[in-house]
Amino acid sequence: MLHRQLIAATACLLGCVACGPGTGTEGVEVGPLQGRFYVSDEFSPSGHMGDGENPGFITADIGENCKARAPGVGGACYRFTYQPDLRFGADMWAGVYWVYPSNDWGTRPGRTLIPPYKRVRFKAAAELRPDPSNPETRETPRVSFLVGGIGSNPADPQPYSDETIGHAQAIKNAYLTTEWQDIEIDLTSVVPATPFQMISGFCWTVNYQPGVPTAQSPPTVIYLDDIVWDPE
Amino acid sequence: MKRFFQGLAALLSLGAGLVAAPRLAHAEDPELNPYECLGRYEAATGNRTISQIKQEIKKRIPELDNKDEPKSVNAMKHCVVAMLMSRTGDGDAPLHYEIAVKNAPQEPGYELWFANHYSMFRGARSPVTETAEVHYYASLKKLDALRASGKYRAYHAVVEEWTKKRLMVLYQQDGLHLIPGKQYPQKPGGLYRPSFSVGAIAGLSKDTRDFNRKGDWNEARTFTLERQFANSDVRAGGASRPDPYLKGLKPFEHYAIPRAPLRYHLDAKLRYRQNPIGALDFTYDQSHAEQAQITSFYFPAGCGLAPLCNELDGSKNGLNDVNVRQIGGAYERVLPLYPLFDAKVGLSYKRVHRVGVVEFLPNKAEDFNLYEGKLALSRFVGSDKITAELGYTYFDMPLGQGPVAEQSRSRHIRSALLEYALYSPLVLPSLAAGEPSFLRTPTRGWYFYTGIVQDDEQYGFRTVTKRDIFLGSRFEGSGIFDITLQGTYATGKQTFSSADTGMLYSDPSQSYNGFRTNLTPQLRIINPDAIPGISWGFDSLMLVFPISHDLGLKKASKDYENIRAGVEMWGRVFSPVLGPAFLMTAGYNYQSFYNINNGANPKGMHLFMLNLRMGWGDL
Repeated sequence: MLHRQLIAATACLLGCVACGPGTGTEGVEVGPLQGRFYVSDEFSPSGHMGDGENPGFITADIGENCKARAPGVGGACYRFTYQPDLRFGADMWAGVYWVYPSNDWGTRPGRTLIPPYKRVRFKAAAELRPDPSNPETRETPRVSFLVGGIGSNPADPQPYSDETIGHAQAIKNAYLTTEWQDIEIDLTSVVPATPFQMISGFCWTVNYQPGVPTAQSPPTVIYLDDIVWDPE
Repeated sequence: MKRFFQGLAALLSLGAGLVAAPRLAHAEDPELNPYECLGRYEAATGNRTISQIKQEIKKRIPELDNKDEPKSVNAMKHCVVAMLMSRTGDGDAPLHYEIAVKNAPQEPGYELWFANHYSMFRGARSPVTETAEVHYYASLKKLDALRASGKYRAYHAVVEEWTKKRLMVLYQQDGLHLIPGKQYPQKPGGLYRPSFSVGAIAGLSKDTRDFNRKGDWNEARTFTLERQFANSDVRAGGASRPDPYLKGLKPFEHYAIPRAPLRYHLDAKLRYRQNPIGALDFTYDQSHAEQAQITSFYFPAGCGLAPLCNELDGSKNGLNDVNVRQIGGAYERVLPLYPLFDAKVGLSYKRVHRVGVVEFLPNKAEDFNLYEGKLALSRFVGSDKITAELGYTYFDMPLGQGPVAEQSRSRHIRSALLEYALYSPLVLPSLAAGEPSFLRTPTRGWYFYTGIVQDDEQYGFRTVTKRDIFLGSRFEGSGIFDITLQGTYATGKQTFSSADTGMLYSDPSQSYNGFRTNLTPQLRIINPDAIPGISWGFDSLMLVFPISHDLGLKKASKDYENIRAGVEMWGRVFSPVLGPAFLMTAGYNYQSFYNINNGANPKGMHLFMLNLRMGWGDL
């Protein structure tokens, strides 16, 4: 009798501990993305590229050290500082993808989006970078912005990819100034009519070529804010 | 024939004495040395089984009803029965102690035995302090009264020494009492006086275990999960790192992950103790671990290619310091709820300030609440004791950075333990008679236990689960030798859920399965129960030889298999000045991770620890 009680008590104690506290979705709304959303709420700027693949060349400030925010904006604001790699053979460019899950380059599924989505709109600005040592470098940084492209490199196939129509949609080589600019990426030709998967939500790249930086060259500092996927 | 008549005469005179005794009782009860109770108890239990002792109790109970005998004699008989009942786990023991105290109201010795029942037999993981206190202080009051009336005998000095020592042992977790009353040497009026005491632990170690002082108790698993995460496609396993690192961890990085950071900590508490409320603590803990945390899992061994890999703030060799500060409060009380059980309730709250455990951000501070609850239930099953223990710790972490789905952070640690303590005398091999033989031997207990500890830490949609299921036995012999053997099945896994559907997936690349064997023989150099009173010097001293082995149960868990052995010394000193208990532990261990090497030799580490505690915790 005693032995049975002991076994029952043991099983009860061990069992109640072994039951997990949850699945990791506690307190988080689950489901595909539909309607307007801030990219900072759903994707993380963890996909560093080019010189940014190595630690120390891109510094990301999220929600701090931002440029004064414009009225009515939402989501997180960002400041990115890119110090180019000056070694021979370095990439001379860098970029950051906002991805979900963090650091995913196509090995894991991303988020499902339910169309329609017509544009990605955001605000961008930069610090001027006069470089007396290299007159070829323009004072206004030249930045490209794009949506899509993860997992679609034929040279490096991945099990999952951004399901845009075509490789990606980009605003190429926009010259940023110290004032906020409103920029839009048109999605009408890249978003499918049916629900689709996106690992990435946004991306920027900076290319120093042909203005090759020198040791005296200042870093590129860009500000981003209010990045929104908009169905309208 | 002559002997027969001598024996008969002795019996007759004894009978005459017993018959005559009641008549004398009405005049004045004879003074009895309370140690006669202890002597009779020892005579009734020596070399006997528990069922024989129970028979002895049955035999003695009818003899307790003799109303004509002197009350002091009757008190002594009740005391013997009560002690026998304490030994056999009989719930009626307090009833007989009470009668003994009632029938010999001036005798402090019975109060001492009664208090010992609550401090040494009863309780759940801790003595029933508040009930034991009542009788220890009653003993002190009676000793004072005897001294005043000139009836303080030589044996009362021994009773007094033991009473004060037992009170000190009862309060050993309190530390240094700041105001008189419960402060050593305790005064008779100290029972209901509030007590304020300070306790402290100072520790220094260089060890592979206990990285964040809670939860990371299995270093083979900790290092394996770190290596697997670093080697995953979201870190070094998926990144195009510069030469010579490249994609995927290199052998020198595998080799670097096991580490033994230098750590020191100071825990301090101010305890308020009040009978019958219990103990209320205000705590402050500070700890520092030197180069303990991997700063970036892209480079778990650091990146030495400066300036290619600019060192992140605070990082050297890929590691950064961890600092933790905790301020909080705790409450603890053992509740005697017999005939059901004794219950220990413990609750604590801490506000934690932690720096150094967020990846990439070695200077990032986290502030959060930590809640802890413990419940232990204990009761006798015959002479044996069964104890069930439940624990729950909740880290209420702040939201992390990143997308909403990845911000949620929390940690739950749950534990359950079931212990069966066998207190029956055991037939054990003996060489006492000069040749091998088997004797029924009383022991300090043979403990069998099983339990589970589960630690779930949530990082957004990912949860890292570490689970230990253990089974063990500890034998505490009557002599100087104790031994513990424990086996632990340890697992670690990572699960993640889809942000779209909430469906749960496990990540097979992030899992650990291992078996740990612990063998801990120990020698009791100085027995704590052998010395009455308080004087400088070790009251208790143990030499411990911990040995452990971690076996990986699948290929991915084998890298950090290891064997570890060492020697530790655990000692306790009571200060005759104001009476705090000092507990010292010092040890050296060597740990060999025999499956990884630097090209020539397996990785081996010299480890040490030194702890000094004033109050706080059992030895």
